[in-house]
Amino acid sequence: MTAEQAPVTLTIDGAEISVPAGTLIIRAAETIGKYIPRFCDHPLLDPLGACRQCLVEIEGQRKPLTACTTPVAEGMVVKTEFTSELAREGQEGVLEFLLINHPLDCPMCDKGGECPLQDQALAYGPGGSRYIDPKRRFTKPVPISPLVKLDRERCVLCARCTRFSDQIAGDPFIELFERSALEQVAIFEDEPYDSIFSGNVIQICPVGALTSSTFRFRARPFDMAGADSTCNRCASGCRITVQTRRGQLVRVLAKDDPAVNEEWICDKGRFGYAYAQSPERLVEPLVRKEGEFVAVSWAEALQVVADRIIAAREGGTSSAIIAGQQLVDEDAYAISRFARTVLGTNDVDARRMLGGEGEDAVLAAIPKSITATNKDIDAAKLILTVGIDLHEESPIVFLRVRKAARKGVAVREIGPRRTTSRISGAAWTQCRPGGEAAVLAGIARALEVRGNSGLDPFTRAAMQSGDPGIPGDQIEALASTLQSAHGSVVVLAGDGLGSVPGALALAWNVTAAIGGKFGWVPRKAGARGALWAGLHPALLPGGRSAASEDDRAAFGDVWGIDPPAARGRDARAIFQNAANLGALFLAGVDPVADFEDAELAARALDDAPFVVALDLFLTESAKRADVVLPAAAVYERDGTQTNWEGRPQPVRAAVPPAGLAQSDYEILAQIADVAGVAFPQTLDALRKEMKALAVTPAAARAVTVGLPSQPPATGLLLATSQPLLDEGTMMKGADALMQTTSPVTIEINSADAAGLITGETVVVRAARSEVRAPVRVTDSVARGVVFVAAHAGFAGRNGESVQVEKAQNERAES
Amino acid sequence: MMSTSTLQETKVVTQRFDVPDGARLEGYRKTGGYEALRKALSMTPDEIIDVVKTSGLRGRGGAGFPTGTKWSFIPKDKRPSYLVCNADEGEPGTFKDRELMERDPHQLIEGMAIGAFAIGSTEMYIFCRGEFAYAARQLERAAAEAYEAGILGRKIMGSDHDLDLIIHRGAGAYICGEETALLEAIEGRRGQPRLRPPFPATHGLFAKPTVVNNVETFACVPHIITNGADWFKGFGTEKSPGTKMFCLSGDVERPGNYEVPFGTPARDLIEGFAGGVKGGKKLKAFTPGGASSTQFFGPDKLDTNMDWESVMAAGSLLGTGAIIVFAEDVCMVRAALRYTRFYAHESCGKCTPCREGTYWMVNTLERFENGQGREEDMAIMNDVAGNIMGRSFCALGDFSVAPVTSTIKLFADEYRRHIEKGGCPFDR
Repeated sequence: MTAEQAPVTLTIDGAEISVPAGTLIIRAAETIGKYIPRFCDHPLLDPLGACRQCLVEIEGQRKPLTACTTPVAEGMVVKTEFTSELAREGQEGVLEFLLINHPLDCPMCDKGGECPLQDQALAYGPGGSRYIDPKRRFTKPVPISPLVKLDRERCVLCARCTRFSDQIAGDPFIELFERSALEQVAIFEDEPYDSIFSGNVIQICPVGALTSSTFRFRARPFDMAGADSTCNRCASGCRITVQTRRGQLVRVLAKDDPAVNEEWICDKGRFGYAYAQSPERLVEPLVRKEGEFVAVSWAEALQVVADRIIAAREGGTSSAIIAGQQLVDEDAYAISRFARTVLGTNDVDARRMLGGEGEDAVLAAIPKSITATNKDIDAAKLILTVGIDLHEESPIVFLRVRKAARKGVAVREIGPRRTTSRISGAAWTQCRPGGEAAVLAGIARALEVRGNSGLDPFTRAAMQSGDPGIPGDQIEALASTLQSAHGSVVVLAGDGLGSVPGALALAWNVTAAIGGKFGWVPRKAGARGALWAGLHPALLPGGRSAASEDDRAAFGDVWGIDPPAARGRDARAIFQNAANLGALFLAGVDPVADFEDAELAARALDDAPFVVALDLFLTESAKRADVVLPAAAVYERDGTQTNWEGRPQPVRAAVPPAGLAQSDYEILAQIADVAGVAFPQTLDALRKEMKALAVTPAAARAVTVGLPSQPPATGLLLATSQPLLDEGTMMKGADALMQTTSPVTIEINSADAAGLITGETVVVRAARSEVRAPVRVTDSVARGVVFVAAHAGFAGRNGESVQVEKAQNERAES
Repeated sequence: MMSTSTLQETKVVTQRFDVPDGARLEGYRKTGGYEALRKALSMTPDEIIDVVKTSGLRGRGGAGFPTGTKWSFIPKDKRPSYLVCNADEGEPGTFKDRELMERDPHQLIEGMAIGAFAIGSTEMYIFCRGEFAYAARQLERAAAEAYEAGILGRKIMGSDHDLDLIIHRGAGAYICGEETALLEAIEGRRGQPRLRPPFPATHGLFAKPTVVNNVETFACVPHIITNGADWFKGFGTEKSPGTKMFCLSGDVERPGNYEVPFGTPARDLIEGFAGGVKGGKKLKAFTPGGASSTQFFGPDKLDTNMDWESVMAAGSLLGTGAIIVFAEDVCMVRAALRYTRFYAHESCGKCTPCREGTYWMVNTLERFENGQGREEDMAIMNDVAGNIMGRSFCALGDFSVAPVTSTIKLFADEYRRHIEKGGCPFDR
């Protein structure tokens, strides 16, 4: 079968239509606006034919057939319930059956008002039931996870939830058990329903069988207001619907967008909104007076900050901004513009981890180049992930890759730990932390041997420094696979690569050499927007270089002044220089918790003469500030969020800002105004400037940078990454969600276990930190590697040498 | 009609039941066992399929599909292919396969081996009903003997053909007798029927071309190979050639399996072989083909010839050939209830009509037995049955309605007597 088959012409209720061969009748009918009722059918799940609700009559067939499993055929004559008595009777019969054991507790059911069973019973069912005997009873509700509650009496056994878990999420810990009318959804006795996608089963449940423990009994669907927006919990950029009741956030749903998240979102995006209405939110400006924070009016706070800026400028001291990567695009742009035109500095950075050699060149290229998109993942022959755990870092991109793999797309992974085991056919090339560059250089070398001349001098030079610890035949095979998929390769790289000298540039260049598309999948939702905005000491909006006179010239017309030319300090240098700063701004960032060198950050904030923090909470960093300005949460403001693909998507306010909080751009614009500096005051004005500074992306070209010096690494090396469900500020109040977080994980390869056994408590000692937890001996981490799922309080760095030993006569739990 | 005294079974697949060690390899071989396989291995696969086609052998699992035709559906260019024996005999009143496996396991293995060679398969599975512990042990012992003797394993009987046999014991679900549910179960999943198409002939076990046949069907095969298609067609009728094991049970004097040519009248089986209705009582009804007969027969159908075409002409289905006899003092409402409970319990739960409809019918029938039946319940049950029939995912739902619709059709008066009496009129 090929995708390009001749269309098939058929008739549905007398209307002739042509659809691609292989189309199911239920989908064909949708194309002409005919809705055939259904429960088990879901366009993103494999056809099942279980509920039998979608019966239609097909001329020449004795029995009615299910529209959800029957493909169209040339000349087929389909009659739906509108024109066929057989179909209508069949559908009524099925609905009557579905309701005999259904409790009909609609008045107290969360689904009431948005329930396909309720809606379809009304539209297609018989008026009443002839069933008078007792209904099947079950204990209810049963919690199948901290987030999901199951009511088996309401369940119509459509198997959407179990199929979602198996087919889409790949974590089939929810299954149908028993048979006959006692068939029921359940979880296994000895395994929890452990899924970061569990909320989706609630949303696709066509009845009120699976309900959300956070939303239960909170509101009726028809009593809610809200807005369609974009999730800011990672760079996937899922479209969401934020729902409110009486000005309170009560629910977040996935919004259907085939190009981005289809109909799915992860549990962090769905259940993690509670922080926005935390009582700990900052609701008014604070100014430190005699050592204590005092709540003041906006006018006073703005004046304090503006005075300081003016004084610094007049005194010739420079100022700097450390920004977060979770800001909307307009905020990021406003910060960049504020730094350049109000503070007059390039000392601005939004990175938590500072990339090694080569990172800057790639970062500069990304906003100006054509990069990978979800569509490219769908169309790829081969997807290579490097330095990223998609499942934890960008879960919906993970689902996209998994879906591609189910259709036969090959998936390859390079890294110190296997993260793609839930993706069928995915193969893993292991390396030690930091060894990604060596593997990529090895691939480059193998490609060159194959006569590929697309390699730049940097890559060519890096090729000489291959890691002898990595088997050449594996790299050879990987290179050959990449080469054979030439032109249809997508390479996905994450933040993990930023800390490996040369790796990002090598990945970029190898991708360019094989005609692939490079996808930079940063961890944070606003990273791509921050990059475009130039929250980087060497970059200006649009990937323009501060060092380039031509690039700087683009700003004259828009800003009225040219940005500074000198390369600014990066985050580390800013902190090191903090004591000499006129003012240090923190915008949506908590470096004391997040920066790679948190101690440096803390010291810097203590040393800095004047710190202004724009934040939602009085974080450890904000506590060290002199002025704290309350910022609006993402649910409280309008804006744009550009996801990993570079796709700008709308963010819309669903609730008013907490207290007196304002959007970051509004705060900065007012500071500028008070300081007497011209600055765009509205979203529209900012957008107009951003549009004027837009660049048209061109085909990606290899970057050239200096060759990194690879420090030799010995002994056991640490690989560490943060799980999706971390313990960050933005998890505040999401108690049920936090109950689903995994305990601290320590993994070690069986070759390095040296007598350690799974479950035994071990201590991992890093240079500045240590962690104690049960170990898992597994071949899913590379030899010579200790993996630690980072948690609050562990400050180990990727690639540093660590010691692992059995915990001495101490209990694991203190 | 034959007189009772002259009744003789026509023993083909049951011929070794009386051989003392017929279930052991030695006894099997003494009576010509595995000679058919030896002969088959000297033929081409197409020749074997031709003989089976010409013999007119039809599947004994209930549907009567021509076996040779089924084998010929297996694509020649797709390997591996699998041969599977459906030994999940679980229908009430059907117990022929169990006896075939317990008393002549080698016959089944030989028939399967011939089939495997014909379709180019080197791996065979027997899905044996979980409750058949003894039958499974007999099969396992026979398989061990066959491996030992080089009849299974590498290069069987000196040929170039390799052949393995895996005996898979079920876990007690009737639905696994549905061939796609059976394949799911072998693959380690829940036994629930698969969407068709694709059919097992192209996407069967492990998504490879697969033949699934009943135990009795395979048991016929060695005899057809040995004696030829014409010999086989010498028994039975034109459209139902060969012999058939009929399972006689219920209210008869001598319940058991009887092998006779197709076309033997029901009266010969019930009144002759089975010795008539127990205790000299009158016959009230019988099933011509087990629980899955679409219609129960009354005494007026006793002269129906037991072959596919005649039973169908008389308004029912031959099915597996399980004849369950109900005497005059049997409560047919209770009979319907017990059948329907079976189907409700065995409904796999996948599709709505079968899962909910059988549950509904059981509750209604229980109400009749408890004296709370209503006149309108008969019409409602017929309607419920109509909403199951032809709308369920697999045939289990279709078959589940017969006891209800049959008894309402033939014995509506009994339902009414339940209403009038306020309970079961057969209760003493």
